[in-house]
Amino acid sequence: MRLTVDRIACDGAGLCLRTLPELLAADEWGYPIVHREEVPDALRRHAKNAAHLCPRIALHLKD
Amino acid sequence: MTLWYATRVFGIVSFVLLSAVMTLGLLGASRRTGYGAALLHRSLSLLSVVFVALHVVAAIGDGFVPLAWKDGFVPFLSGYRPLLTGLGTVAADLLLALVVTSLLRRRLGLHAWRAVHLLAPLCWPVALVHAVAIGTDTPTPWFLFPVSASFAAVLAAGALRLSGRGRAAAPVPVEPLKERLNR
Amino acid sequence: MRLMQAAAGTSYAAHTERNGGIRPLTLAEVEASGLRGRGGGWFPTARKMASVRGCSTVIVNGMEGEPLSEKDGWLLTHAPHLVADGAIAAAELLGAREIVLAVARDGLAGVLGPRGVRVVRGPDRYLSGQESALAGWVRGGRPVPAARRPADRGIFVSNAETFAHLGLIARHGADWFRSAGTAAAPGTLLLTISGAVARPGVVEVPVGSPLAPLIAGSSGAVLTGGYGGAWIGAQGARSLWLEPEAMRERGAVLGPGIVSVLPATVSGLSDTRRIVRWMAAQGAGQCGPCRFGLPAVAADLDALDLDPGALPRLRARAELLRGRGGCAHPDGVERLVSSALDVFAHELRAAA
Repeated sequence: MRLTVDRIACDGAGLCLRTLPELLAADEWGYPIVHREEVPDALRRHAKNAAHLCPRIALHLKD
Repeated sequence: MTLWYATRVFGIVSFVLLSAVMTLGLLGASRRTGYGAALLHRSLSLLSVVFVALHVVAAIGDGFVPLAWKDGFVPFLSGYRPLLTGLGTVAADLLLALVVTSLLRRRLGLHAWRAVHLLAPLCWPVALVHAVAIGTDTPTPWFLFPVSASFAAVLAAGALRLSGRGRAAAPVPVEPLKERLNR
Repeated sequence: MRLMQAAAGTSYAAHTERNGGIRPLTLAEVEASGLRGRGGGWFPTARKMASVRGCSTVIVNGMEGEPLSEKDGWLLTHAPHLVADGAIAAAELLGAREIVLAVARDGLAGVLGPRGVRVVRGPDRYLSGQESALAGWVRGGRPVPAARRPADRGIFVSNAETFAHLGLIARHGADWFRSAGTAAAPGTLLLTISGAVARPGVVEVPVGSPLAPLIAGSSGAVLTGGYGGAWIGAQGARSLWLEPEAMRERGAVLGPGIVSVLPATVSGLSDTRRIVRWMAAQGAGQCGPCRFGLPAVAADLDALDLDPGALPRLRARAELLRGRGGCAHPDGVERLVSSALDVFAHELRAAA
């Protein structure tokens, strides 16, 4: 499962950063840095939640 | 008579749950909460749909007051206090719309979801008026306490929301990735 | 040279007399020619054509947002009908009903309207020529980059010069096109030369030509690829070949064919500061790197002389511009800044 951020939709709300701290970190303005694109199996559920809960629907997952 | 009690209990519980959903929603919109709160917002909204449904079924099924099944969906046409009951129906319909569009938000897209969620702040005051005006328990403590507490919570969260779109004290800082073990 | 020889001005009669008529193009022929987009990306044109689903519109990108570029303006002034030929051939190939020429200035509607090309004038901003932004505002939306690619909206966008080459391929064929340039990047390219050079202006050379003879007599550092490109030191520049991969390996950028020589009296860092400030103001403001990263990098550049912490901060922030924007605009600025810190390191040391 691959994780991508729609950089235009993203407005730095930061929910994904708190949901997936293993994969994402924040720059100094709160926007995500994707350190790891590939979602480990253990985090699939959290990744799906993050994608669903993003206020801007900016987080996308591709199997 | 039991169903009538059930109707009132389900009603109060629904209102408390709805208020909790509203509070979490307001705090989330001002970016003061994280993952856990967002999940709770989602779970509680689903739960409140369940309790509203139970409240409606009990009220209509009971037969104590003249209510028909259509009054659960179509407002202001009931035989019993049409305006106040109707407000409850409106709140229930709004809640249903909010939950359904939220479940389907990725398919509907941001704009459609947002358009409906803009009506969210309307749902709660309508439910409040319905509860306070129609509730036959209004003066009793087991109505007053949960309803006032819920009211206070929503107002506080609303004040925070209006006080500006603040980020939390600092955004999640740039640091090495945290490992979350054994989830 | 090819494009320049074919140029016949705005008269269609003069154009057909000089060049003859065109025959229909096939996708196979475009692929065989090896033509790569001349807008800066050097992406294989045939592959781009194939990626458009249900093509309804062909857009000729004549916006030329890079301030140091003049080649598209030159083409549209001196060979507009050749550009139109390529666009018409592409539209027929792709089954598109509509052909649009997007420009930032007036004057071509009369010339190309009769040929079935709708000329639209767009906002004179750097990103108005970015492909998804272009497709957006031509279709009536905002001139800012979008997540949805033009190809997914049935739109084929390409640079004016690319269409001009297509116009020639439609006459002389793929093998002819390949007879100039390199195997990986066939054909000729238009180059805009500016700055402290004896002969600034637009020239046409085969891809793979050495840069040195074109800037003979000059001695400064060179900005390659435009504001979103990269600086190359004086010596390195004069051993460059004008080929996209060859330049990339040397840390330079061929891009839309821009080469600008820094005057001896101008500090490279100060010129870079000016450019970065301008680029920051040209951002669409849609993504974090543009809204916050670019102004911060511009501020750090300004503070280099005064604040010892500015340089490491600048390097860290520049690194975070790469691959995190809503389009490639922040990436261009990162390239410019990183190359400037390298090429003008002596200016940094002098200030310290």
